[in-house]
Amino acid sequence: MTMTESQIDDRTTMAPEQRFGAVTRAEARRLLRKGGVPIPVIVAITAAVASGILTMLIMKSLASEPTRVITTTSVETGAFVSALVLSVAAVFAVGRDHTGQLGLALSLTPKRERLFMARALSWAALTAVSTAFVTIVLAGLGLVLSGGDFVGSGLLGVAATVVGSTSMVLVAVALAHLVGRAFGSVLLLIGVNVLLPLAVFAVGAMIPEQAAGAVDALVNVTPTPLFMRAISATTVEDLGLGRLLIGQFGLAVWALVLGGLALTVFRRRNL
Amino acid sequence: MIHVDNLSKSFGSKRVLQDVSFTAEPGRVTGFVGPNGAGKSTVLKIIAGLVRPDAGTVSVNGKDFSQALLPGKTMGLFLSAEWLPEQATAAGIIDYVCRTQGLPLSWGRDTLETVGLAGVAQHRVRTFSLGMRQRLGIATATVSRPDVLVMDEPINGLDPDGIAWIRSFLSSAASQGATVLLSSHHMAELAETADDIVMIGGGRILGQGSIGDFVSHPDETGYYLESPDPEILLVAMAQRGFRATRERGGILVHHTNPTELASVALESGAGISHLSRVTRSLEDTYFAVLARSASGGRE
Repeated sequence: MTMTESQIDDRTTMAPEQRFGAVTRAEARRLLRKGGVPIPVIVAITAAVASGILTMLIMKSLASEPTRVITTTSVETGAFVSALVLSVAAVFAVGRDHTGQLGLALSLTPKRERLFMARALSWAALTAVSTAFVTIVLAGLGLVLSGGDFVGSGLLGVAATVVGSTSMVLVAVALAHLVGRAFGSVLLLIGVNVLLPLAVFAVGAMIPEQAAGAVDALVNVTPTPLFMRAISATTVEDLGLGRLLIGQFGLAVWALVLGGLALTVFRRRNL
Repeated sequence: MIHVDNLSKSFGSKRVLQDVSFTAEPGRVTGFVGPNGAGKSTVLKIIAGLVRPDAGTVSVNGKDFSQALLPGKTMGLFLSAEWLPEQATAAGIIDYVCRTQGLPLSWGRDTLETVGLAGVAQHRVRTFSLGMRQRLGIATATVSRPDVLVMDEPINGLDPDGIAWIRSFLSSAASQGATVLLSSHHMAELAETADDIVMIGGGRILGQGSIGDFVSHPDETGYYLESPDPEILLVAMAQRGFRATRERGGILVHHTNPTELASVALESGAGISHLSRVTRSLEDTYFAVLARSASGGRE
């Protein structure tokens, strides 16, 4: 091994201090490189577009729904599949921290808040771009098929699914940081997104009918039902924007609260 | 400079560090030695900010490392080859290092070239041998030419060429003013490379000082000689007031020099068939200090 010229280069080409943006870009690029999650992202996009098109075809052949509804439903289906695959990818990717990634990352970015925020933001950006791609393709397909008479609904569907999916994946990222291991994170993800609403629903079936309203309300504030509301652009024409906005708000609260808890754990974690 | 002040740490009920204090000075290579479980890795992790101490402080160039403006330039860390993400490629890892530190990406490529990994840059770490992982770890720690280098067993798995390179690299970094803290079990290697030594055992500092203090204490420098008539020579030496003892068929003498020894041998008529200088190695001191520590400080 010999020294090269650039190794004795002066340091004037180095940044004066570490920037949050640089760490975020590094994290985002890491996610997209070999060893990151490029394959799960491709799977998420492919499965989402395929499921959206399938929904479109099935609804077109079986139902007499307007094209607007068919398109927004297919956009919602695509976004749901995309968010599901990306959530699982996120918990597995964060769960691989113990294989050396976190030690390396912390030795390069010892300010833990900065690293945590950069990781969250890189996942948010990845999800937003993937979901935007999926939903724009599906909405565009719907617009082409229908002659483009519902651009407003299509755009709303894209915006709602991008924001909602991002919050949903951030919930998964926060859960994975809370647990730290892939297997435990997947179990917790299933627990929060599937078992929690089912458990509340089951409890509701066992209590007096007078309390049913409260149980319904409780089911509706768990992440999965909130996500379904958050991306429900189809219902906006009939029910207004309120239902969708409540879903977005509730999901954002889940992401913020779990993110805050995860950051607290992350700051105290010993490697 | 790394300044470690009164570090204490327990994991559950097990106390792993107790009032650990030492300083690694700039421009010097400080060897950090101790048996397995002595607390070396915990100290290094605390320095790196990966483990929080229960008490005590660590400063790197006068600051908490987490407050460093440019962490990669402040301190380069190589704590274990296992701390490299196995699923990533060498190029991916070095690219990540450069991007987080705002370094030109060409520095990363050059460093991979330097450590001999340019040809396998696109291979995943899990396909690497231990030596290749060590080289990659060293590359991640050194790419930004840090002011402080902390390395845990960097020569494990390296071939002789790699060992020679890391030795010259560390010495050169120190001679240019860098602080180097080098943890190793290879005493001979440390004796070659280190300027100062910090010994740790049972979570406490057992000794620290310059390498000279550990390998050539005046009281323990002596000569081993063999003679055709050792008994006569032994008596002659005792008469001249030398501290001489029988050792493996020969005689071990302290506080003297070869001229005096030759003179006694000649005068007594015993003669000398072999003469060699006996110096205490770092390894000897290491085991002596550990033994003293285990016996509660009794000689």
